Amino acid sequence: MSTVDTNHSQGWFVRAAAVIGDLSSPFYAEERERDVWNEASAVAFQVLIWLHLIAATTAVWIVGAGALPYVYALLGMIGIAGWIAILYSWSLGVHLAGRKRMSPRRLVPVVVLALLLAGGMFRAQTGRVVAGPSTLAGFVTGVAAVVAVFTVARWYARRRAAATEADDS
Amino acid sequence: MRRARLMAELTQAELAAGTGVTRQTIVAVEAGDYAPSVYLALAIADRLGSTVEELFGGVGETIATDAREGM
Repeated sequence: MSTVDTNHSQGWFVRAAAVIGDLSSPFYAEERERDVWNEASAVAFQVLIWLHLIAATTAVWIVGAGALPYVYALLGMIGIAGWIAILYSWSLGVHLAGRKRMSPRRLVPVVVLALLLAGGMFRAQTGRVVAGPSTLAGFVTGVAAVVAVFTVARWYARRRAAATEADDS
Repeated sequence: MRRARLMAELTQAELAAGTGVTRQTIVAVEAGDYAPSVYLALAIADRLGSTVEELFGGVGETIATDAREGM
């Protein structure tokens, strides 16, 4: 069985995620198949993130400023998918922060790729009008949107965590 | 678990069908490659006329020891 019972009084987000993920599918009834598929999905998710980041980095260094809108779109997509994964796990009481840290062996390539991407984006961006009013407005709106999403996500997660704690009687 | 299954004169496929999982899952459990959930462990024990402790007691002790040492 899935960890989510769509008939149970889960939050709307978890219920919606269960529908999107088709978690009530009979496929998930066989526990080992479910576990293996979950591991396979985790691998695929990591591969997808890496492919997005590598594609974004390559595009921004080869194409330059013209690739920036697509780079932002790629980053936005993995950002949304990543946030959904984090929010889903938070909603079910699994908090990744404070758990096992990423090993240096895994951290180094992430940092190298992030620096390459950031450098490429900075290089491409400085070739454009950086401080135009619309650019600044877009930047402020983007930052505000990210902060708002983060705040709402944390609020929702804490509310769910508090509800879970309250059930522990 | 394999010994208990053979004593019960069940094939892996029959045990799988009796517990609602695939034969591959029974193979993995017998090989120690997969730790079954408590529900599956109970179903297997019931089907084999045994107990979870008898079938998986050693595994449980190993996990508990590992957990203590990891603390």
